[in-house]
Amino acid sequence: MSGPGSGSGTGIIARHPGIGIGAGLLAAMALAALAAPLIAPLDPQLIAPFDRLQAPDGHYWFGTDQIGRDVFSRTVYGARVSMMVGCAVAVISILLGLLLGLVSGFVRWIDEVLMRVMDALMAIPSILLAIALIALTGPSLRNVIIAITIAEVPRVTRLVRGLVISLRDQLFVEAAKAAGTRVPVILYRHIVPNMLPPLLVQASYVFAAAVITEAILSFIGAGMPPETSSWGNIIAEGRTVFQLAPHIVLFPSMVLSVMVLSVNVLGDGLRDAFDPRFVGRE
Amino acid sequence: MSGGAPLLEIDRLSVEFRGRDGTSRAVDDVSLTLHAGEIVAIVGESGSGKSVTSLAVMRLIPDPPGRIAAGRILLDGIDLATLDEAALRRIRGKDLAMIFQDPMSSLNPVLTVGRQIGEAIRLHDGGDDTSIHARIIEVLELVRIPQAELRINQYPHQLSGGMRQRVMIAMALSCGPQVLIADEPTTALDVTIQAQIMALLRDLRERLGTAILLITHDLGVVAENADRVVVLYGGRKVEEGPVDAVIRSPRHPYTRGLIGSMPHLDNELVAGERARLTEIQGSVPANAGSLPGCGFADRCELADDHCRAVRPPLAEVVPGRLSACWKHELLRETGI
Amino acid sequence: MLEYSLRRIAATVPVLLLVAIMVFSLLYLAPGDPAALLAGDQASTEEIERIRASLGLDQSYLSRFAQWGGGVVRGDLGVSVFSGRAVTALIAQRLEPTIALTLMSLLFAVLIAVPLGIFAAWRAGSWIDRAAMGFAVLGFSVPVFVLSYCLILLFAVELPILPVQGYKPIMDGIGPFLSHMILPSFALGVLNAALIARTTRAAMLEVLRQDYIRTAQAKGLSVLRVLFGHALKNAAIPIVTIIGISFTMLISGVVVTETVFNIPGVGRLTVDAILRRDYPVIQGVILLFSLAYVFLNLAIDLSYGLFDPRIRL
Repeated sequence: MSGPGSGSGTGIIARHPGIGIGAGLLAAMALAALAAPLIAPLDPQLIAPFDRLQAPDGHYWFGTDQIGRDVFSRTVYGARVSMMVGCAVAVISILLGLLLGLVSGFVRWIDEVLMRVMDALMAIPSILLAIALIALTGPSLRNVIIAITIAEVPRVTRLVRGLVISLRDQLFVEAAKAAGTRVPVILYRHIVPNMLPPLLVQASYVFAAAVITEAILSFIGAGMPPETSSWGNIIAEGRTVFQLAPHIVLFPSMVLSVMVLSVNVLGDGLRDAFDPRFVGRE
Repeated sequence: MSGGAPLLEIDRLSVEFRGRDGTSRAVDDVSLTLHAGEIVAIVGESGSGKSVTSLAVMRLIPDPPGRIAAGRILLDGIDLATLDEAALRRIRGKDLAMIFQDPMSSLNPVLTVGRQIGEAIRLHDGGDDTSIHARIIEVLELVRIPQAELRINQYPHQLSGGMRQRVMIAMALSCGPQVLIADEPTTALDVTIQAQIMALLRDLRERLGTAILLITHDLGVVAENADRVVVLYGGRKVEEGPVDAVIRSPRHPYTRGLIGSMPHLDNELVAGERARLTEIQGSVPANAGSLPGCGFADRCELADDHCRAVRPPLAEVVPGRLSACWKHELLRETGI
Repeated sequence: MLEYSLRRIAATVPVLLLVAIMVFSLLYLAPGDPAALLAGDQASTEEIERIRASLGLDQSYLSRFAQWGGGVVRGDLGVSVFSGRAVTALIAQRLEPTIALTLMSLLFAVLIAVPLGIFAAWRAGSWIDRAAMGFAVLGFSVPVFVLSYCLILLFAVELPILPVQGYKPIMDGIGPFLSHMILPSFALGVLNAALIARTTRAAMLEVLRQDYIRTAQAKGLSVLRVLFGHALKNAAIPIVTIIGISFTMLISGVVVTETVFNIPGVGRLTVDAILRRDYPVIQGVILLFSLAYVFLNLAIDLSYGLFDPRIRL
């Protein structure tokens, strides 16, 4: 079965250049994150007391911070944190949302309860919820991932539920049922494959949101442990000397923006290619 | 045909649309004239170019993809086809007004009837709130809407279908246009309302002298209301003449087919033909314009190899009547 | 109308209750002894006990929730562990800058996004459309604090025409107030502008296809009148809806913006409270923002009838 706008892979990318550009940039950043020890010229934690607040030059590409650490090396290592948070939150929220959404779409009484819970969760500003959770459980990569996931799951759940309800009533599902197929088989054969394109698009938006939220949490001081080279942490530390040495804030900010931008461009490209009308950021 | 200079003259108009597979001509070399107080009907199936012609006169063809490729549209001597947007806006709704097919979708659902009628008056004729209000009431009464004072504050969804079309007509008449284009004004309405709306249009023509260009697929409506008829097929004019003569004795097989497929026309003149001509087989071929011969040949039972090879020119077959058919003589003989 | 309104209002009750339960229960999610956690590492046993008692942690969950909930209903959000002052008083004191920031950034967002979305839809596929939608994707992608620093660098450091940070109350004069508010509200407005612009474009694309737009053009109305007088009102419902839904994003942004620009608002209060683990304040602020979200969206739902007379509420 082929959807609208299907065709060869290269054809799709030619028609939606965002997919190629976004995926390319993202892949480059993922590679840089994986190969951080090879790319970073210096140890990101290495303190050079005599080279404090150096402006960017041939040696320190992004300059140094107030205790003389190489901002470029820290930024490269920071990509690891963002990539990990982005991937983990995207995968976990999609899986959890898929599970909850399927249950909600098929079991009426659970749907009532679950949707009210999701409404309530969505009413709480996600950043506040995340900082509160981290303030209570302590800053760590695991807690950051959990906190952001809790904020993202309601959106995915609503998306999946909406898709299930619209797909459920469609003819082919009816037909499969009439032929005596069992519910898990219907799920596996008909509903899940139809949900993959919109979920893939949603995953990219969740990834983008997670990367931004992690940066904000670390920036506020309720994210990654302060000694970790995460972009939010680097920017937070550069804050106090911003007017003196803006490069500490600006370089990781730019890299962060480019990463989020490439994920968003990839997501928009996929959305246009699949045309899943159900997907939104909101 | 009325004498004197025409109010509206469409002169060899062609309209093109650019699509993925190249450019297509929706209207090809169509001419017609409309005199003051006259009702001229443009008839054809969907795809014949009749609606595109009317939108072209209003210069409301969406551009891109559409554009007027050739020809002139003279309203009182001014060529609308080349007029700039600002000058066009002064003419639209003022000298030249249009009513559309579906009065439900053609009225803005979130604005009151009074606001929608009043804004054209305010725009073209100006005046203070009191005089505009008085004029709105006047046009609502002109189109015989009861309780005009009440209707003015209502929204379209609060009105019946016939009432909505009356509001559309009131809106079009609000600035006293010379020419009114009515694009399938009754298609979306039920039969009794259709007759009322057409009676209203005829009456307005009598009282105000408004010239009406009536766009329709329904020859029954044409027979009862129009003075002259222009038959379009595949974007080209295939027949033109006074309504009575054309209905009585069509000179193009396509027109004859349209007459034969009229469901309610109680007309003994065509009774003998009805058995053969109840339906025109097929539909307008998409490539009708690019065929070397007659665009109707594939659906025509009279067509021969000559028809398919050479396109018949539009010629005056009888004084005041035009036809683009090689077999028009044959039609005269068999068509009674 | 009345029936719909009542049902819609009634539907918020379970959501409000669930929000309250969640906000209250957050404290119990913490591993180990919350009192010890809140008191910090250097706290003495007496101090931990004092906090435990003040938070009511020595009582059962249900009785504590009943007490807290009863207080909330009476408008009592408890007492700050850090300063000993009433949470409601702390919030009230910080409310002005936050409301000003929220409203001004929303104003920026609407003023930028709605025209942008309208013209993008009107010229769909053109360079205006591409540029506007490119701007929207950029707006989604640049985090608020990044944009804030860029703006500070440009307008407060490189060409110093605006203050770097801080806040001046409206009472001190409209000039200083505005000069301090422009950068933060613009930075905060951009993200919402991106969202509103996209929604406006989508809604307008749908509306501009409708027959009544052609009718309006046939009347001789100018493009601006057609777009703003006829089309926009028909596209209004999705636009106000997205403003309501994105309110939580706005609040998250407020927290960050107030931190960057050192604005003494509720967002700043929240961050300080979190860093000090001042739990009653955190609970109070989150509850307040969540209630604001629920009521804003309720108000927006009930306002649909203003935009579309066909909706008989």
